[in-house]
Amino acid sequence: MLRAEGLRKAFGGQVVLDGVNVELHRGQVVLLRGENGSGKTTLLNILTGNLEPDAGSIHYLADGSPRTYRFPRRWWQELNPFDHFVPEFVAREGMGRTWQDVRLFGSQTLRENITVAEPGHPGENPLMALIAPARSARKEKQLRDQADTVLSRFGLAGREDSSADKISLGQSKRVAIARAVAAGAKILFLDEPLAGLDRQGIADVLSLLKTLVRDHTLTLVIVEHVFNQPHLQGLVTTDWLLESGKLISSLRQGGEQSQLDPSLSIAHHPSPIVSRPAWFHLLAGDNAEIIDEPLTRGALLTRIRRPDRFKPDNPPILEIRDLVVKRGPRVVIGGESSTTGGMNLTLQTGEIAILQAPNGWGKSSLFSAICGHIHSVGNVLFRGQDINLKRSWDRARAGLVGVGSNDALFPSLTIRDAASLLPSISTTIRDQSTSRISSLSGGERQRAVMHFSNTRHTPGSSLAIYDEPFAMLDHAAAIEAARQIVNTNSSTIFLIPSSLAQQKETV
Amino acid sequence: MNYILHLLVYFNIYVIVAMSLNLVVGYCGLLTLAHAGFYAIGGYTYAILAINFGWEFIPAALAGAAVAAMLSLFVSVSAWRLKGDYFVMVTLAAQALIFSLLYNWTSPGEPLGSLKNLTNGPFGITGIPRPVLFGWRVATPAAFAIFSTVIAAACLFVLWRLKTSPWARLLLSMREDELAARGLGKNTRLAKVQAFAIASGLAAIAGALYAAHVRYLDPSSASLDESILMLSMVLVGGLGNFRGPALGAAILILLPEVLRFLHLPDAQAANLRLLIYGLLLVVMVHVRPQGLAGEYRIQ
Amino acid sequence: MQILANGFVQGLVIALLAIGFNTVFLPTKVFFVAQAGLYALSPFLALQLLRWDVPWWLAFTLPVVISAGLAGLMETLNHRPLQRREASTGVHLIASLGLYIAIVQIVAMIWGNETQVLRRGIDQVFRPGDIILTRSQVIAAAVSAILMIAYIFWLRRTNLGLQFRALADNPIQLALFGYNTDRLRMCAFMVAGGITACASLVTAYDIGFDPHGGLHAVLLAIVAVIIGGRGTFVAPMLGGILLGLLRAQVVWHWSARWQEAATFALLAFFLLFRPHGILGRKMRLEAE
Repeated sequence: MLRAEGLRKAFGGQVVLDGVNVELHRGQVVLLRGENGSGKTTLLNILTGNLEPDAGSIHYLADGSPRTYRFPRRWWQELNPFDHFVPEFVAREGMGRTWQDVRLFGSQTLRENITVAEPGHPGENPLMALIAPARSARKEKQLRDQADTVLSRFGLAGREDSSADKISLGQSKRVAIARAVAAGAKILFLDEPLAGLDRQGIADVLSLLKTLVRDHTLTLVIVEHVFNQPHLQGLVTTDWLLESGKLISSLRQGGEQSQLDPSLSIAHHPSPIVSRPAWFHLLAGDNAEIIDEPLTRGALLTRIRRPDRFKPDNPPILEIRDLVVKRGPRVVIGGESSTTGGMNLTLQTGEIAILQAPNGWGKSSLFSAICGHIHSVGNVLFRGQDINLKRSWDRARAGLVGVGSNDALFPSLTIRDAASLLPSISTTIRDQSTSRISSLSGGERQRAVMHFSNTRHTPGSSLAIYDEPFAMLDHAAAIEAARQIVNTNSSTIFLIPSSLAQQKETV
Repeated sequence: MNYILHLLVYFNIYVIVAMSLNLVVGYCGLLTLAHAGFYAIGGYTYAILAINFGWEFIPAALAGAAVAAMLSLFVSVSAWRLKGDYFVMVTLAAQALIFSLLYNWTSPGEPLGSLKNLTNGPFGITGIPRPVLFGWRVATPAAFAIFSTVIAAACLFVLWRLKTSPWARLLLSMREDELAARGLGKNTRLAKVQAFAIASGLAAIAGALYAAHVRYLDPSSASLDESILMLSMVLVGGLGNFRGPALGAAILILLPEVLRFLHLPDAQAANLRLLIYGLLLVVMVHVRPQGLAGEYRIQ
Repeated sequence: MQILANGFVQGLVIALLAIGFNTVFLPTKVFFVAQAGLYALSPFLALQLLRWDVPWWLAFTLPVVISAGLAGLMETLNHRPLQRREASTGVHLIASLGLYIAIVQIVAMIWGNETQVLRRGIDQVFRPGDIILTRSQVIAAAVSAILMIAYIFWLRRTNLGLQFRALADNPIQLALFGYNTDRLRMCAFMVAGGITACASLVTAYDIGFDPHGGLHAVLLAIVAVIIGGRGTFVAPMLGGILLGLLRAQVVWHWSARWQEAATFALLAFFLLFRPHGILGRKMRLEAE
């Protein structure tokens, strides 16, 4: 149904895909795996027409009229606007996709979200809408009925007239899949369809996917985070592994788990995350007290109380009470149900706390809310004082050290420039001090981030919050980062890693 | 009485303008400053065709609409690639180019409307004939008021049909998440071309109506101030629905008339009017970003 | 040569104004159209001060200070509240446009719509080589060049300049470092206001002024920014000088009345085919 040969893509000299060959057959369910940054999303974007590869060819064979694109394309091909390699034309070849962040049309109802997908609607031609409204209206009525049927089959009966930004994440993921199917998708690319869902939501989406494969012989290509991958067991027929720019395809034996690392078979564990990578042990050290504390929506807060840092009579350093964070109309944190209200969290002085949560949980939003970049409702008490109305630099001066992820430095400054924004300069990274930050590798950037943050702690009384401290780092770099973190002067450390999964898949 | 009829004609003209602009700004979410350019093109096309070839109103206005729709391709094709401030800059460039053309396409001594002197430059075109409709000349103010109302009603009917159609839903989807719409196989680039062509065509018809009413036309009707006035109408009234732009047009037309009662000198009154438009924009953005009766906030 | 010289002088002034624009745009992402209002206002302030027999040096520096203050006021009362509500760039643009209209109309109501001059009598003329430069042209070029060099020095060598570049890169990170980004933004607006007034005053001294010329001047500056590339603070200078030279060429070869058409055709060309400008680093326009 789809064949691609020799796909190459490089971003600014960094080769992400290096001669990838792909073949897809009807009814296949593919799990696309690979560590972060290995090009999963890039491949998805290329196959769905959102990104043009540097070289290679793609054949779309899903419907009656096959279509082939060869790259690099000649400049005269761009002159014909009906021959562009763009998502809308690729979608008409039967490629559908969903996004990690869902992307429903928020101001429209669920029914409209489905009906809008219908290909070739006569009313979408303004001339037809003008002179033959009756024909358009007939089609419209028929489509509305169809949409209602689809919605009820997907367990959304009675919600047809709800606005798409008022439903739960799990529901919206199902609507997004229904929308892609209604648009005529024969191959469906799913970008993290289970991310951010609770167990019920995961079960609902999975049963929907099973139905689609069985009844519609839909072909699926799924990108999913490692800790949700075990859920897909039994559905997946083929594994694709992206590694150093190449794709390795392997058939999976039905029902067996041989393809996956046995340690990942945690599908039925009550809490999805219990794994502890090497950096965790380094943070914990010996004979520390470790407390696991489940939070809402599958998140887990782990407190490490090392005897050298933590004293039982320490006062709380950070208290979050009734916190609600909104992004646009959507509530990101707090208010999961009408009864719980906002989010609550307390950190004691001297603790090392690690918040692990699935993608889409709102980790970055929590970081931003605590550091004061985004507006939030509720109380954030730092050393007993409510700082939620203070601006972000006042919080920083009060001893709240927020450390952003390593892609969030100053790209056009040199290390030396950036360092001189801070009170003291040390010598550890002087060797690259005149190169621009944008030209550094992930590991070098992380070292710079750690270095900058270390000069900002006031000993004994400050709290350091790290957003995605281990993102894009390999094993050794992650260990190095953890060592730096544990040696900071801050009394209390709060880590919000992007996901524990990445470290494991590199093993 | 004539004064009231005159106001009615103005309202009719600007209701078409505001509603058509709303199609682009409110439904597509694309902020444009080129609308006055297309409006003026309609006026000029009508004036030249009526003076030189004695065309009737409807064919001349439709010709103007066609010219404006063609020229709108420049703007809509840019919208394929450009977003945000960059796109606003393109529309500004389009507006400046149209103004410059109207201002400069002249050479002294040549007859008006010839290829060497199409627009008569800064002096403008005088003596534009009253509109002729199927051989019948619309001569009295009352007749013209009725005539303009009928034209406006026809334009609004077209817009109403379009705005209740699946095509409008496609535009809304594109406004909210263009990439998602494209991922569903929607040709959003075509939709942008269509929306701009229709909006510009309707603005051109309004421009023709204006030329026929005032019977004098100069490049100032394509000026940036005019574009800003049009944008103020939709922003004050509200975006994304039917009543908003109508309300905005009514407010911004009646407001200067109220100022008349202050008996200011003419130049001062014009300045005061613009001052109020400017302040209205600022106040609206802070107090009611979706406009008085709108459903959508500009992105 | 004469054409090149004229174009170069005009280009320097455009470049100065372009820097003013980018000083606000880069760190704050605000399309500061109200700059045009300040541009229109400053020569009228100078004129009024001269009428009141204020010494000339004060009459030319006070408008700069007032303009900087007004720009700061706009940030405090207009853009900062919008920023707090996470308003989009389009909203900032509209608000700024509204302020521009308001300022220009107030100026016109106080001082009238007519064109005015600051200079009395016939200008002194210099003839270096085979070109002719008036004294006001020399002043315009010198002031622009000195201010631009000072600006680059300030940006590259001082702490505040460094904080500015950091703010343009990543305001959130800068706030995490404990810097008051609101104060820096305010600074950006004030610097832009001052620069605008300088550019406006030297132009007004050279060729006269009226209340409605501001937007045109600022549009030229924005075109210069886009041509040069808006990713850096310095690129707009190149764009400004190029634009000045081009406009002088158009006057020479065709006619002054096609200057605008040529300018905006050039803008359209750049936006469509090279939107990151001559010096700009490539960035993805479509937020995907």
